[in-house]
Amino acid sequence: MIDIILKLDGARPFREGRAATPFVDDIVSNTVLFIIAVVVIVAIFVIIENIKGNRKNKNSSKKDSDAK
Amino acid sequence: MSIKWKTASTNWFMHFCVEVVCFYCLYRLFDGGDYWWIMAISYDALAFAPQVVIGEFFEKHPKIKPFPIGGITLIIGAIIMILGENAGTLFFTVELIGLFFLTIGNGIMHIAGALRTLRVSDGRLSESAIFVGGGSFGVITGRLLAKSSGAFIVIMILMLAATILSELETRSDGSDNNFIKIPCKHDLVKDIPIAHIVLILGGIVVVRGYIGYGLPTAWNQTTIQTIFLFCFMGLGKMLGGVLSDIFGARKVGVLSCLIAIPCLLISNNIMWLSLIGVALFSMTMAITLGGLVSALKDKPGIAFGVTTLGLFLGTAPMFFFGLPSRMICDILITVMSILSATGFMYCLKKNR
Repeated sequence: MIDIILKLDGARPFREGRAATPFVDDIVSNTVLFIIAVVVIVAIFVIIENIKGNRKNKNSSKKDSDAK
Repeated sequence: MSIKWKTASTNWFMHFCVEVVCFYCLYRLFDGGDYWWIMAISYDALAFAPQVVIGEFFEKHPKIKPFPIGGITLIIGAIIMILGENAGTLFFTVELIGLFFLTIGNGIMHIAGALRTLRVSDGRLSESAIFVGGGSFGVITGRLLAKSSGAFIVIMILMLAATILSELETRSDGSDNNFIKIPCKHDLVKDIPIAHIVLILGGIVVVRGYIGYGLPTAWNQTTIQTIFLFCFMGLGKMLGGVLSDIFGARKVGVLSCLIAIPCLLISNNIMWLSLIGVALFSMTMAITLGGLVSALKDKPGIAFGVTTLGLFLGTAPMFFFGLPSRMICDILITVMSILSATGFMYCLKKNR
């Protein structure tokens, strides 16, 4: 099915990473974009959680050293 | 300064083999064809973006060995993709399944190499920079070998050897095969909020990923010139770490960003000057990684994942909008390099 959709959409060359054809809306491109967006959002969420965790650790270790 | 050459060179070789396998498969099966756009963007996204999550997973589960899992996953993916060449109407479906395994294996191997080189380096950047530098040599080798179908078996044997070597190397230093518990000693960043450091250094990687496509290389017309280009990229990445350990990351980061500007802008047709510019431009990779590891203490997997996510976010616009005009590229290179140098000055300690 996806094969047929891609063939209907025609060739979209991306040679040498230097020139991309304009983005064409279709089901495959949208599905790929959706998956990529989910992966990126999850990755950003994990980074934010780790920054929060590191900040807490930093604060608590500062308090410990102040108490000593 | 005594670089752990065994760790650095083993991981360099592993990274080299990983990129050879991936780029062999991509260029052999899709180069310039109907599926090139979709496979290239899927590869970039699935190999780069999830490394944050993969890094967190292996840090939370230090008993799970990343090298064998990553190596075998990568090899399975490559075999599925090459066998899928003859799958007829199921070609695209089989290739997508293969690509999934290939990219996840790629991500695991990258994270494993980063964890290993960052944790055993006693706060140095050289080991991780040498590891990172192996990728550029692998990309061009994979692309060149893609024209030969017989090379696949040799590549698979090399990948298997690299996986075994990497795993054996982790057992060779008496860290009880549990290197993921060794604390990171990197201390490059000032006492400023971690979020600032992650945003600024991550931003530098995004910028680097984006303008990397727009570097003026009109001289690059032949295969041998392309080989030179990729080799200088790799050398630049490796030198960035080694020179940072000798002269200090801040000094090397700021100077490499600023000196790269004239080298790149006036060298569109002058190969050697351009290559020096490309090497200088590539040096920031190890420094941003070192800064992020210093900020996200004991989370080198996450720190490495931030750099790969940044690279993906930087390259993603190319898939949709292409490259701006030469003049806009030159302005971007100048402005972004100055901003990157300012970012390094803001985030990195003076004496580091």
